[in-house]
Amino acid sequence: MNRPDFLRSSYRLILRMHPEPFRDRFGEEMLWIFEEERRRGKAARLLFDGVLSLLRQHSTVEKAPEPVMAGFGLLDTSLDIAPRRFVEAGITASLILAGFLLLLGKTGTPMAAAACLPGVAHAAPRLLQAPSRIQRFPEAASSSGPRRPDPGQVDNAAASAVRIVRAQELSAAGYCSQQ
Amino acid sequence: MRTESDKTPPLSSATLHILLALAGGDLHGYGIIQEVVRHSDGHYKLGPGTLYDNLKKLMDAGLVADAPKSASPEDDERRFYTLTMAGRSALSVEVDRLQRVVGEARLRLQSFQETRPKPI
Repeated sequence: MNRPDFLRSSYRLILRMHPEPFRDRFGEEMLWIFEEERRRGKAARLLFDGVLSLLRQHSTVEKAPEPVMAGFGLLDTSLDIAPRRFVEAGITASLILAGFLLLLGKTGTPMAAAACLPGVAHAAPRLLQAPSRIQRFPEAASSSGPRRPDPGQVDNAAASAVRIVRAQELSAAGYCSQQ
Repeated sequence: MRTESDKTPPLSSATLHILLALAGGDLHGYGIIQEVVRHSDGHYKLGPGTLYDNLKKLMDAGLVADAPKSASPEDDERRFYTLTMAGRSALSVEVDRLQRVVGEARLRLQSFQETRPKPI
């Protein structure tokens, strides 16, 4: 399966998982917009939008439409979330995203997968570069054992310990006054 | 004095952009997306999921409705959306609110520049 087919199949799957009333009303148009964007080579980012939409549609409690008295007065801009449905939608969306990233990763294009997700786009390159960093700085990679202290620091610590012991001896012998 | 905008919550960015796009004329879904990109100079991009989630809310609230079928044969299968009178008044209330915010911001910036000590 080539990349465009994979993207289209993924988007169809995401649409199929939307609640039926929403899918029946807007599903066909969403797919049409996806196809238009795919022709322009901008379809990958729509997958993320589709997953977000899936999360929103499953987490919003369906309410009977209320009469609008003063036009925009009753427009509810907040989400009414049922906790159980929110968790279900979260798990579903995470599984889809994980599968999507895994599949793209296996086909050798993990950067493309990372580019689809705004949050991951910054983190992924660093993760991907980790092995090359180790190769670039072999001395840093080889120093995996316990770190050896600086000899100067050891001398200072020993001198301090000697001073404390001597002060305790003098104190015990009555040379130091109690403050 | 309390105005109508004091009684209503501000619109979300997506809702405002959709209403603004439809204020220019009836559009289908993809037309709304393109119009939003155009009037925001490419700074705001709506995905279809976000668009239809907001359109559904707007239609349920009576601010947007299905438009009559287009005369153009190539748009025959497409569903068009139109701004209702309630939608137009909602947009007008939001624009008034934003105008007040911008006016207040300008005043504050002006007084900030006046009170700021000049570099020697």
